[in-house]
Amino acid sequence: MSRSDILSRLNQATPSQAQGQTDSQTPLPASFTIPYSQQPKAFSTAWEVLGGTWELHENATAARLAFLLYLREQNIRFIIAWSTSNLPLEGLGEMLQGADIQLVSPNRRDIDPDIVVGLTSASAALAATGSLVLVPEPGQSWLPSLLPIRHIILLPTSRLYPDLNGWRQAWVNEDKIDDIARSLIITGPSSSNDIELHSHRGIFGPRSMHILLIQDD
Amino acid sequence: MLADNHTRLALQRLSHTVSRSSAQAWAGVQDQEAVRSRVGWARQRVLDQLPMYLERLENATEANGVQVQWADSAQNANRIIIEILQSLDVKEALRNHAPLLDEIALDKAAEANGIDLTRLHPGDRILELTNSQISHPVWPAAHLRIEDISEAAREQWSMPTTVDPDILASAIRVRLRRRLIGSRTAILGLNFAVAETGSMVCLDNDGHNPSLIALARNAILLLSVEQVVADSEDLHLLVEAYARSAWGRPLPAYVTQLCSPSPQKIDGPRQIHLILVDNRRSRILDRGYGEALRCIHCGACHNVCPVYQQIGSQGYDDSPYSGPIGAVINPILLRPGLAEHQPFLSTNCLACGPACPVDIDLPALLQQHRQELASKIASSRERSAIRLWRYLLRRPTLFVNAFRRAGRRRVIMPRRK
Repeated sequence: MSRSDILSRLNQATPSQAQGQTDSQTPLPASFTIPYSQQPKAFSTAWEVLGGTWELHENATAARLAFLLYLREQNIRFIIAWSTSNLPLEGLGEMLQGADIQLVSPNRRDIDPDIVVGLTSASAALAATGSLVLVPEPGQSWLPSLLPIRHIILLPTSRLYPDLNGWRQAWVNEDKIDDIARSLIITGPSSSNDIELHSHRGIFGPRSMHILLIQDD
Repeated sequence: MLADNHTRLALQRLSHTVSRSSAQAWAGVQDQEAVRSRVGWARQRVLDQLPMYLERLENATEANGVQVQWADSAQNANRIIIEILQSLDVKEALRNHAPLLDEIALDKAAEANGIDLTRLHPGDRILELTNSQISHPVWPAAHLRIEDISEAAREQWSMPTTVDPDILASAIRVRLRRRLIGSRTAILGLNFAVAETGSMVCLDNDGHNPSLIALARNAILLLSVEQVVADSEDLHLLVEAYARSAWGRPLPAYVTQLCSPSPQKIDGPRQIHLILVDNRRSRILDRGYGEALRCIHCGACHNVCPVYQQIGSQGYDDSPYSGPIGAVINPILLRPGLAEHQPFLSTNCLACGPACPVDIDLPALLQQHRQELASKIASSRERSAIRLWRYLLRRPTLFVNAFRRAGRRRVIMPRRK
């Protein structure tokens, strides 16, 4: 009963002469698009403004070694992570196993509060705003990017897009409208300003974010 | 009706801080006026054909496996929610920060039906802790002093007194995360829903929305009917406009989109219910105030309103909608007669109009209310007196002579005793 009541009231309140008045779309001004070659630099600049740290590596081998070094320097032994088949570094699982660093699959029943690091990649990243796009798939849980205090991202530069508009248009052209519609877009660490406008990081999401950009094109 | 000194200062500081960062965020936009106009168009085109877009949304979400229901009133919305919770045999649930959930008084309905409902947003949690009312749509606890929060934490959590906001925030984090990990059912008010794809959208900076959605096994989502958006392009424009105006950022920290129940091995709820809520919005449209339904609840009008900064949210009859937009919609949204005075909570400074990112002409809508009310309540004698006054004001010579005569006859200035 509510449905037909509501639609009937709305139909009466929306006279037919109002329809069509907004048919002519107000055009948007053409926006500056970051050229592809400048996107890694633009992304890292935006990322720094958000408070994140980053490294850029010429290839997967350099990235793998740098990642291992980073984990050792930070004394990280356990990581909640995407499945290794979804991470863009081949041989990562074996390398970490050899270094006695354990990758833990996210499972809310087993979430250990002492695991402070989450490891993911991203389906896309937006250079203008330093944003990451995560699409939920098997082995690509959102939880490693939300629950631990520290979030580490492995990102091939081929997944960079200039901005929100550029990313959406590219994925529409690739027939990925459904993925656009169910994605999580992350722009910076978790922050809240609820206590006298003081900025506090990590109330729910991570407090810090570190990204390894991997040149792959 | 004036708020206490501290609240006034806190709201003024908030307004100054957010206005400045919002102005900086918009300054980075090429041709701001064109973008605002386009965003306003995106909202208006849906309002002009709202039934069509709602049916489109219903079809898209049902095709995605979402169970859709409609609620014409706050009471029916709560009834549907309680029925769903009871069918799931759920006694506790988490909710997000959403004015719609406050509008329908969900917390009271949950309590009356024995449901333990926890607010997960940190600001809302602080309001609960201190037994306070919301003061701003985006910064709900902005009016509270850290001393008051600390005192409440000391009483309820046995915490040592502190004025370190990080210590207090960490204490809140520990308690909220414990509830988050242990819970299975989430009730969320949506910011938007996309008719083209059936995508349901929440925005925040602290991460409580994606955490809720990723961990929930059952989700009940509520959308007020005017918050439907045509397509993803319009959605992204609105998300950017909201982030700039509400938080002074190019994008929110988290834009969470949910389309369908999740299969095994993928995050997200296995069962999703969507409730489309009218609760007098059709009346707002019918009364000629439909432009106000473009509102995306970013709080931009609050941040420039001199009246709101003096009276806070307590001047708006316990409505979750305060400030200039509240003064426009509350006379129709709330029970008849309760909020008719609210359009007069304005100095006509006209600051709210240009501040609105979706081009709502708030000053004009406030004036429209005032004219309607004035014509309703003025007696024939009052109307005659106002007509005479208007006549004299347009004729300065006559006006001065009339005043001199009235003064000689002591009509307007009686002799002192």
